[in-house]
Amino acid sequence: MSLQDKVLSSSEVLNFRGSGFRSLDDIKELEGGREGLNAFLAVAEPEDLEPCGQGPLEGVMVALKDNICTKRLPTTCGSRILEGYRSPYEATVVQRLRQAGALIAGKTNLDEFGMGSSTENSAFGPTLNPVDRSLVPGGSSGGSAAAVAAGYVRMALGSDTGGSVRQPAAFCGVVGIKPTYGRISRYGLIAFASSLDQIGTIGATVLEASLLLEVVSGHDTRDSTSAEKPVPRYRDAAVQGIEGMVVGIPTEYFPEQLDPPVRALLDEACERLVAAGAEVRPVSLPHTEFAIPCYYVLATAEASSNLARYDGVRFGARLPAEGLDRMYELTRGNFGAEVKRRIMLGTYVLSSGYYDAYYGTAQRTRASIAHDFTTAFNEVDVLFTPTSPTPAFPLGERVLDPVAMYLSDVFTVTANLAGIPGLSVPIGTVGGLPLGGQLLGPWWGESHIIAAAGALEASYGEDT
Amino acid sequence: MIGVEIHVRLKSEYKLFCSDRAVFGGEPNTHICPVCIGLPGALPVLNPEVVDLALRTALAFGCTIHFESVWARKSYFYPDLPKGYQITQFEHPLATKGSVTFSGSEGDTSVKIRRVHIEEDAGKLLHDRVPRASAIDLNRAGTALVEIVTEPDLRTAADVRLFLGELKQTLEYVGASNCNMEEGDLRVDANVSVRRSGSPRLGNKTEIKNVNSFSGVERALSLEIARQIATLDAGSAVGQQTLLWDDHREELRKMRSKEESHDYRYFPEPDLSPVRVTQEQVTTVLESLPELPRDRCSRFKEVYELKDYDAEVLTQSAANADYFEELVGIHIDPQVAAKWVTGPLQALMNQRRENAQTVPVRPAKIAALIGLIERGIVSESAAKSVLVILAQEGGSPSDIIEARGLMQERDIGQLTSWITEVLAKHSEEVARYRGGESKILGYLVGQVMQSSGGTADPRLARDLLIEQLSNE
Amino acid sequence: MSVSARDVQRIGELARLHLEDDELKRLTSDLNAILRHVDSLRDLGSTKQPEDSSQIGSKLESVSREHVEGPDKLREMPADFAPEWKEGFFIVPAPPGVHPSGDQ
Repeated sequence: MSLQDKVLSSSEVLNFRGSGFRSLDDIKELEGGREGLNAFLAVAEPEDLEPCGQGPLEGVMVALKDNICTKRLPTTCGSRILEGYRSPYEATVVQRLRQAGALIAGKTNLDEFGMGSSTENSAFGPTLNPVDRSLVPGGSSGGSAAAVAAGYVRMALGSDTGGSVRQPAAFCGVVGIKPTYGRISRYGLIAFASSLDQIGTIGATVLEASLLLEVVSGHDTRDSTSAEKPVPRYRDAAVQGIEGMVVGIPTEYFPEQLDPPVRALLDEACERLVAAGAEVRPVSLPHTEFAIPCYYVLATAEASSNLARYDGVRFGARLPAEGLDRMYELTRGNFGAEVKRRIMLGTYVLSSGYYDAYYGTAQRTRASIAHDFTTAFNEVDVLFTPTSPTPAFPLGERVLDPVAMYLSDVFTVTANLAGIPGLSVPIGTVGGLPLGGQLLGPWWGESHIIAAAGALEASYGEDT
Repeated sequence: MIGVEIHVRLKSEYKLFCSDRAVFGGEPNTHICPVCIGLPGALPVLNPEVVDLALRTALAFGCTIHFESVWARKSYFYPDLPKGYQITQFEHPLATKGSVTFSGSEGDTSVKIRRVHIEEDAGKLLHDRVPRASAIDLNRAGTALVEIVTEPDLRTAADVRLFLGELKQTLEYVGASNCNMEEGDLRVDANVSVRRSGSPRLGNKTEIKNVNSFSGVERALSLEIARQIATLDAGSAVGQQTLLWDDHREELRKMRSKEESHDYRYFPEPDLSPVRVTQEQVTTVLESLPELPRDRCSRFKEVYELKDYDAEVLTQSAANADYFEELVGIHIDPQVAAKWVTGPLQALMNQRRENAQTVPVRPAKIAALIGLIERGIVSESAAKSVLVILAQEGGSPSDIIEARGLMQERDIGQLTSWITEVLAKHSEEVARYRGGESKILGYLVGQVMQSSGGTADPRLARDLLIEQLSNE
Repeated sequence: MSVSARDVQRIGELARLHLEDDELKRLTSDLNAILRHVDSLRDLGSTKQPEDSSQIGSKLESVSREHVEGPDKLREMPADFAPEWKEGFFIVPAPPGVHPSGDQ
């Protein structure tokens, strides 16, 4: 199917009034049965669907990761501590979706509070990968990626702090975009690591992911970190072509340990980019090896602080106790193991005596990593890398080994640290499992990476 | 050696990081929103009015303003702190290095200001609403505070009280805060340590918290200084500790060590950009600052030749001083103006619970009234009643005087008849007067004034009285 | 850098996380594994680095709000989501060492 055909079929869907790709009943039935993926934590009832505005997403069903605040459906963050919590206000992105005419199909599963790379850290069970149910869908936006890959919806919102939109998109064979930091309002996104979090879009195609991005992007006075920059028509970037684009290949992202079949697919993707008119060049991002430790210091530090408000005092589940401190401890005992681990690490690196050695150093490292990208983007327009070292891994394989789990983020965390936009697009399969290629752009360079992804998608599309 | 930290509630209309009104009182939990109660997903947004008020404060104390200051999170768990952290400024405050001069117990004394920074207030925890539990009201959570920290330049408890008075006055003058002590607009923590004279080494310092009045600060410090001296005299060392002041029992109690040991884990607030202030902004604020209380007081003494006491009373509040100067501006003699503002006007304001800005009788009317007194149209004592009527009903002094027949009575015949009446009724006093008790004349004049409903010309009445008394 | 079980206990208190014995053991070993990994950062310490932009906020324009009557003012009673609510107040067990006499 050519891209042109895909565009047509997409716009058919986009004009599809009433129930999007699958009806709510279908979704509930499929999720409830043996074939259930546990992608959805909550599915909307017909009466939940508010009257639409008129806009580019009119009548289109969109799924939301369950860390985005909605008023009717609960917002649990995949955690017992927010089980049943109904936010009294809704996130800015939800308002924008409704203004554009979209319908919220439901809330999708995630690693608790966004902390994880497999959606196995949800208090409500893991989500299964629709491509192979013995595998993880990736995380933390595993529910959203699975929902799109399974065809329940064609678009979903996730959040990306260290790769949590791009990596699950790669594992499930769909498109995922993390925009420039500040592109999308975080008001109503339940915070994990404030200086790294961004809402991201997941779509069945580059066009759909880009259109969704366009609709939810833009300045919000309620988020001081959101940028006052105009929003281009990202949907047009998907088809604009890449003649003359210079694509950098950072050597540090192609280590020797990459499996040969993976490497082969990456090489093929590069060739396709060249065939589409791009020029390919090697570059170096020398501080890449420090990205994971840097990320885990900064992200956990911010997380330990952002999660301090979950104390059972004003909202959420409370475990009653005789004394105040006991109440705090019992209530916060509801956090899962991964969340506790990160809170502990974050508290430690911020604690007196250790701040300079850990947090201070990590801040400086972050600046170096950002500087690497700035230097590279003086030479090239975009960078091409693998999204993840491997395709989806089996459920249970890494969940007890935190360091192994953290290392699967190695290619994605740098974009969050530097604040730059990143996109994952399918570039073939390894042993039948989807593999994702990642495009990274400079600040506000979404259009470039969308164009490159669009060109790749079209190229693969021509084969079929 | 004493240093103080003062938390001042700024008088911004809205809270520091959200659009709730910063209101004192009101039904609990009615001025709250997702941001200030720390609901999941909410984010802070700076209210620029607060920066302006904080600049006024810092510049009033002659501080250096830092063009970029950074918000920080200060983490600890307490039920009145919704997010589990307070947004404050730590390593990079708004302002540093200022000073305050005040009239201390030994003359003019200067205190250096180490820093001024902005932070948000916590909510209120109440322990007497529900049995065996605590109740939280978050109306106050998120209101804007400025924290002022001094160097340990103060030397006596009395000086601390005097310093705080000067500080409060200055804050009111520049319009940074209402400084309403009953509403908790000003909270003071003090650090004190003593040094044996001749010894270079300073003892450990004690921190005193939870004091809500200036006199409380003075009492607490006096007690603590005495205790430290006694400890050293007995040969022991003073341990570093934090003490809470109990105002009811007038005693200091030790804070439990668990309450004390906080690791605040400060780090820069990622949800907010640094506060950016321009030189232009600073200049604008500087130019808009009013004359400060001490300067105004000196000027009043010099330019208007007022007595120390009058100058001090008049400059107690900027509003009073403004009222006085407006009066002088309408050509009223400064001494007379001072007498009226500190006397009858103040009494009127006290009675009506108003201040010089809100009292309905404006300087022009008092000037008119004073003019009428000077022309002999009304007596001073009648004029005071006119003032009250002006406040209650408005109108013009001359109209009121005419309508109520308060014109000063100078008709000798009328006066004589009142005097005769009074002398008839008070034969005992008359006898005493004739017996040599000349002071009783005042009483008799007063009686004549009463009979006349306040309208008799008191000087004339007095002269006539003396005449009549010596006649018989 | 490594942490002892006692360190982990103390951090747990700071974070108000109660840890059972087996949790404590597991966390101590997990944290040490992570910290070994993180220590590679400290080797960077001495190399020349660009100025610390202490916040990615050097990119952030100074945003200041014109006062907006937020559409999100809490018009709904917190009673709807508060775990314990009485007579207009959020209710919690009293903090340690508090005398039941007025507020702090």
